[in-house]
Amino acid sequence: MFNVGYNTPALDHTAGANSVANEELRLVESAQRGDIESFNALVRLYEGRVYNLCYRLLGDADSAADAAQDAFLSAYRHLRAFRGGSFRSWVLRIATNVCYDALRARQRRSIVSLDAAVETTPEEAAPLQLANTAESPDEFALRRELARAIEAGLAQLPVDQRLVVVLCDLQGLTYEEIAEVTGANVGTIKSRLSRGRARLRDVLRQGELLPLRFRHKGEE
Amino acid sequence: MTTQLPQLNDRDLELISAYIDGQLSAEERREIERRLDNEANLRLAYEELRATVQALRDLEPVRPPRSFTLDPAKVALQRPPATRLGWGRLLQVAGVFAAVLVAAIGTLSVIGSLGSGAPASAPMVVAPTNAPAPPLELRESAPTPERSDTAAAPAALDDGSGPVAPQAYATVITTPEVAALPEVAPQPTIVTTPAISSPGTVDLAQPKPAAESTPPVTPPDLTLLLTLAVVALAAGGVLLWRRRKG
Repeated sequence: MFNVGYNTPALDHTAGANSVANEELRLVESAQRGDIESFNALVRLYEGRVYNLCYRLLGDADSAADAAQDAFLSAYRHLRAFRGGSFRSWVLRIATNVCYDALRARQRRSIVSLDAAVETTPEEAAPLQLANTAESPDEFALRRELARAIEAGLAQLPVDQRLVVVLCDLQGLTYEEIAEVTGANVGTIKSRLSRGRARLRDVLRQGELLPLRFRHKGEE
Repeated sequence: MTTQLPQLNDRDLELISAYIDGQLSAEERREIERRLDNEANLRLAYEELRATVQALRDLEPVRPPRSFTLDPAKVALQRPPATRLGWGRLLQVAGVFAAVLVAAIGTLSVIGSLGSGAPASAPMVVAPTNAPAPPLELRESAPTPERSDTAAAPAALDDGSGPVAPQAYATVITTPEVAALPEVAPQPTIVTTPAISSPGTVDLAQPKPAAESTPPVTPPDLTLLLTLAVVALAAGGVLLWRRRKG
């Protein structure tokens, strides 16, 4: 399955999965006893995931950083409430709740629309770089345009669909893990995911960003 | 020639989305694969959706602008998670228990005073039966059995002034026994109640004037004490909570 690729445990590899899980459990238990360094080790393990989730849900770097910090603080304060299971799902759930709170507060204050935030910040927050020297300028430009279109499309999705798409396609969680994070059942997740993907497909189709072989003659 | 954009119903969209993720049962998978072989529109929709998912998965993760590790010096000011059950929390819990206790005692005392034939209930019953005196006077003048009015009270009860009155009498007669229990109302009731309510009994013929002059002995007000304790506990909890937050 897709791996986000930053500070993430290699849970896909069965051989290493157990040792990673054991190490995670040891860190959690140690942090529950008040060892801040153990908790910081957990933070380092998941801060990339948490920040990316917040960034994709909130749409701008500053809000995402604040939300991620709040999520880890909240996780530390409520560490006693963690009763086992997947620490990753637990901390992502906390981050999701923090983002929902931030979105509600933003809606109340009407400071800036999510679309506007997404239009202005991605290049500053996540500057795309040439993936490798073999990538031509045209390919780089197309990749950049595709990323912009996806970010704009994500911002247009209802937040429940956006969350599921981000967790599944960007974070690589299984349906069961998404159910843990969101509290929704698997049937609801399937439904939200398919509708969110279909909307994004429409965005890419409108921007003629789908591969040529999938385009219809009427669109070319 | 122009092909139409594939428009699927929600069910088919859900099926091909789950098929991309490998989340279909074996039977559903066989069915969707059979349809993909035969239905061009479905196949095109599947290819588009798969390309969309691939584009999402290829999206590069964003690098966090900083680390989110917690500063041990700042966190040390807070209590570590394992020892967060502090005095404030204990005081809050104790306050809740005390409040429940106060409510329970208050309820029991009200029920006890109603159910044990306390002075309040006697006048309510005696009054409609043409008792010789108002409630307050009855309590004090009941020990004078030679009055002719006192005979009228049982007579009126016998006339069928309602089933309530005999019950009240029965209740009042048993009051001395009940009064021996600790929950029953104050002692003045114990002394005067038999005199009021038993005009046909020996007690009525032998009043005890000494009881009238005995000042009522007030027991310590437990409810008041507990209320004060609740207020003190709540105030302590709030103070500790504010100090911790500040």
